Amino acid sequence: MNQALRRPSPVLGIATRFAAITPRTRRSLLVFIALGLAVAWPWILPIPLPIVGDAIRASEYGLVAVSLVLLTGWVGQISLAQASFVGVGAFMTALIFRKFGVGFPYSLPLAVASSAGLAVLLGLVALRVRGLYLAVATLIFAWMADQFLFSATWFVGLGGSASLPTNVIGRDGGFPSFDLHDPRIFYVVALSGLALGIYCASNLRDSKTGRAFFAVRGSEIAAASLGMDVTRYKLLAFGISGAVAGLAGHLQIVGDGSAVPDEFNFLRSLFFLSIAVVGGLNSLPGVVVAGALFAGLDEVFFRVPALNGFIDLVSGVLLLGVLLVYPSGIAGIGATARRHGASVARLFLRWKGRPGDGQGEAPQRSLTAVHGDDAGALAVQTSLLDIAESPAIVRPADRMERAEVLTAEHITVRFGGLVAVDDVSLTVREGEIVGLIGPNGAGKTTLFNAISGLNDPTSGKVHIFGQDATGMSVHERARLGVGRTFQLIQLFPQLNVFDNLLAATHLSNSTGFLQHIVVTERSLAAERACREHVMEIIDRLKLGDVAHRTVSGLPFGVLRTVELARALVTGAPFVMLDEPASGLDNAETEKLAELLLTLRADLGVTLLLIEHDVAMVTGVTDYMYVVNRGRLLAEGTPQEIQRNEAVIAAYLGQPSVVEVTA
Amino acid sequence: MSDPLLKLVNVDAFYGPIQAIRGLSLEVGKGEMVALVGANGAGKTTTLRTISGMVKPANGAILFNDEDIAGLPPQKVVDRGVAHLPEGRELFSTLTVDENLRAGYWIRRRDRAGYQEQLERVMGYFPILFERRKQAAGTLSGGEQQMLGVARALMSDPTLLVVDELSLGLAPMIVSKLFDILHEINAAGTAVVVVEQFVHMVLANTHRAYVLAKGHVALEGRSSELLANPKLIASYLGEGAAAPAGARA
Amino acid sequence: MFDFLRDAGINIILALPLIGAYALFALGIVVIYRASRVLNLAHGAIATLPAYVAYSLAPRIGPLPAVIAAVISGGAFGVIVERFVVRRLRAVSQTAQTVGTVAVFGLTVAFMGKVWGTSLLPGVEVVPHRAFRVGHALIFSDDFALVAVAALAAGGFFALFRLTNLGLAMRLAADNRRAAALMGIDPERTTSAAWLLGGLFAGLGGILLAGATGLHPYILPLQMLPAFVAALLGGLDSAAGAVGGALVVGLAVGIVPSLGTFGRQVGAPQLVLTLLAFLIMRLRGGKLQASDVRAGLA
Repeated sequence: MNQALRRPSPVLGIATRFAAITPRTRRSLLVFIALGLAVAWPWILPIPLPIVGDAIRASEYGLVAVSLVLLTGWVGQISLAQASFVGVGAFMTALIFRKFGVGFPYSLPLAVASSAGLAVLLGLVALRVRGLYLAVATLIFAWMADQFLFSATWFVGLGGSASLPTNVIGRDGGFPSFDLHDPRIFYVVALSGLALGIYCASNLRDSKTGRAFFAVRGSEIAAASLGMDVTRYKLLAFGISGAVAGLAGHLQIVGDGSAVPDEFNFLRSLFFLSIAVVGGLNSLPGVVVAGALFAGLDEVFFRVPALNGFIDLVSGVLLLGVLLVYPSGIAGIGATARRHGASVARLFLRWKGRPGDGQGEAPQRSLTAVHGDDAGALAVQTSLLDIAESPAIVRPADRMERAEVLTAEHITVRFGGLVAVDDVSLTVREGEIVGLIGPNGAGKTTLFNAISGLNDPTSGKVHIFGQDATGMSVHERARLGVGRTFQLIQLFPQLNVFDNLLAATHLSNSTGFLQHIVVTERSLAAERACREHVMEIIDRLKLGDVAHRTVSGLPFGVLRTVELARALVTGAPFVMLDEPASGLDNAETEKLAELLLTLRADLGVTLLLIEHDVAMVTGVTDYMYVVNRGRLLAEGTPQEIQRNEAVIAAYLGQPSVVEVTA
Repeated sequence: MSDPLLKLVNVDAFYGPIQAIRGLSLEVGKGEMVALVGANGAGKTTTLRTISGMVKPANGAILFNDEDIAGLPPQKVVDRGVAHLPEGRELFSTLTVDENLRAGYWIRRRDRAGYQEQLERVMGYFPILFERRKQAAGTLSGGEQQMLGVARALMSDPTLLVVDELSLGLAPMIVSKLFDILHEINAAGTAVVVVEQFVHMVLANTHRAYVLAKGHVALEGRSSELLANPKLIASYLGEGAAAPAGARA
Repeated sequence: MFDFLRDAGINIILALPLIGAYALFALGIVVIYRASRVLNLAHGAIATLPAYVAYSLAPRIGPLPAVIAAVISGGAFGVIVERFVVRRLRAVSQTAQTVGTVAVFGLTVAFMGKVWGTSLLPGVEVVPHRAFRVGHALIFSDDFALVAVAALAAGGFFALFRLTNLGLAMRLAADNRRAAALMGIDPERTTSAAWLLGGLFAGLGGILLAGATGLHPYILPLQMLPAFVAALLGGLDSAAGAVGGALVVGLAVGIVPSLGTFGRQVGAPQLVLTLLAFLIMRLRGGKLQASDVRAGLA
């Protein structure tokens, strides 16, 4: 009896009330409190000034690490030259002051622009190389910057070092006036820089641009098939990353008053890479913590005589350790802690007699706060799927009367002396499902790639929806309305299923990266519309259960469906499927065939598929083309093809005696 | 079959994330010549790879001379007498014919005396290779490369030879000659498993055959009987497939 | 004109030891790349540590035994890096392996700086120190020793590869790893052998170079960077190409400074080499090939 009247403890009361606020408000509240504390603590507590100096350095380290998260973590472009961009920011600031007498903060834009420009130059090289070659290219770049740029007296200044008198902003005695000599004041400046960097990066991450970054890292070819201009996004990433690093350099020289080239050499780039990797390359909060950690280590190792000079050793050990043993870095620790914290919280609440709070899952990145309401015009173009969902379109029964979606005319593809495809023509008409088959080595993949834009045909033309697409790149064809799936699944491993599908709304979202950084109403509305669209496709293909799971670890059949869903999300009225039944067992293959027929009936989408499983193809297509040895062997309805003597011979071989070849 | 040389029991294997074979079982007797046919993607190549150790099966047993070799690395499998001529031959293209043959003898390299003898025997089958012995393997013609592939596999004097896609890209006359040589080797005691997409020549040249489809055995039997079986075409081209009336299968 | 030729000629002769050093390093880089498909960015560190080891051991056991022990330590270092860093990261990606070697580089440099300090130390004198005059420049016997040893080492290298069973196994595994396994060769063992060899060469080159230019934990390892450019120029897959690349790089470093005002600027040769390297890499890269897609590389 008494238990019912027992008063709840005040702590529990606060905790539950806190838990009851929406995630969005909760996060803003936490951020606000954290920021406030971060700014105020040097004044509230009696902190010795050198510690404040460490905090400044931590902010600068964090900023460089953020630039690496963006470039290396998200876009996958490894950079061993980051210190060079920091150095350019620093030395440009000094140069601007030397030549034009312009100081902080007015020299900021030009300094940042120069480091961004240099980074874009490196990016141009990066376009052509991948993986380890890229790492080496950035290494060589860093070396060249060291030897050439940072030794040039016109750039660095006479005497091999650059100096900058520390500023006083505003008039002495008047307001606003900030004396940057005071570390506490400059700390606010540095922290603001870090906060700005994180704010921009965070907004980018949860936007169309961020998804494009992840897509480029995950699979360039799939990104292109979704309409993303991979070149543009890579260069953009280099530019933004260079700008952020340059900002760090700018702050560094303004705070320190001077700089020497040695501070920006290759070993320094390694140091920054260590910070980023230890923090967990993909995680913004992680690298901020890592930056603070390393700045703290700097201080400790400086103070304790026995540990003098060990900082490089320790950072090397940490880098290697994280790489080999604990790849997710500090961010991984954070995620594990959050998971454990959530289950502890649940246990606690359950013990106290109240139901657990929700699923206890770590908050998904995709559930960002969207302030949306219906304000303003939507920036989403109508997709062709919307048109298709309108009352049934009556299609002419005769094949030849339907509109041509794809026409490949006299396609020949030559690789050196080898003719892989020899004068093949095929047509796909509206609402059809067309199959392209042929024995191994017949050239059907090469033909498929020529149509989709991966290869340039030696001669011949490709028309898509009436337009000459022969010279167009993959992403330009995507704009015309072509979607595609891949034989070896090309989903983006860093995103969960929902975000993989969301990435496919790229073309229907016309907002740009600046709008994403600043989070305009228009970009938010576009985001909301895209999410709704993805939800529709998820419902249609019954992917609701896996929508918030990461891609790795899902069963193969499900992955195939997700890739198909991704192609549908683009709204492309014509989808090319590359061996969609590969790896599926008999039951799954049947389900796939049914699904394709249903999609054609409900959405009106046109399909072209290459397949090895001829039985499956005959059951699902209206028309088939057979290639053998690069030539078109036969075309016709499945029934015709299955009884065609030449086709049977192509697959099972000639039943003849040994022929005498000329 | 009592006491087969090679026996696969319920093998599952993957090619990356794709399951290429499901619950596959087959047998090869000592001194037999067996064909493995089926459409592309049926799992024939993966089957050979699980036998030679290039792929580790996820489930099942592979018994060779009554020993389960499933999951052993290729070095250990070739040591037990299995030679694998892979799809595409996988020659050492920048090394000479001579060096390729020496590579094939590697597993027996301690027997220095035996090298010359084995080399002569193998060159006897393929005299053209003797002429080209100092040439880089990548510069040979398609037919010569295939011959070199077979010759290289024979250098280790295997008990079981598995050949993947013997005829790919070759003129029928050369393929026929290769089959003749395989016959001789088979007669001398080496069991042979040949994977082929094209059925006629291989069914005419083997004792028994298995037809694979979607990763499992769809048909099996004596090679001569299979050729006349209408289900053979259906396994490649689907249920409705059949040779047009009056034409040969 | 004659002046230019004479200057250039002298610069080339002066550059010879560099060419020798770069050739040794580039050979090691190529051997390792062919075996592991990894660019060993730690190579400079693997070359420098043995030089320090020789420096520390020489007073105790004499210069020649010290050098031998130090070269062996270089080989051991290579094997350890392969076994514990590169092999472990193979499952992650090729890029991760490369970053791993970068991490080893940083760690080793920091270690050497800590243990031996950052002032310039004299390298071990393997060859008695004598000076010769050419024109108005001075050439030292150490420099010649470098070239001579490099030539001998290269010769031994080629002999190993052509004439021994191990060399054959390494070439087979480098040409086609899967086929080599089918022949009964253990690719892991040939890879370790490659790193051992690479480490030995690196150590040898490092010791000799330290004898000529002195020991420093940061400067000496970073001097190896042109060797990477040399290997890249030679195509990464070919030992002969590595030597050719070393020739180009050494000549560039030697000749560019006599090419007028631009040439005399600090870092000009490095800029030229950088542009050359980027050009090569740009020529190699191309539009996404279909084979990349099928192989899942895209």
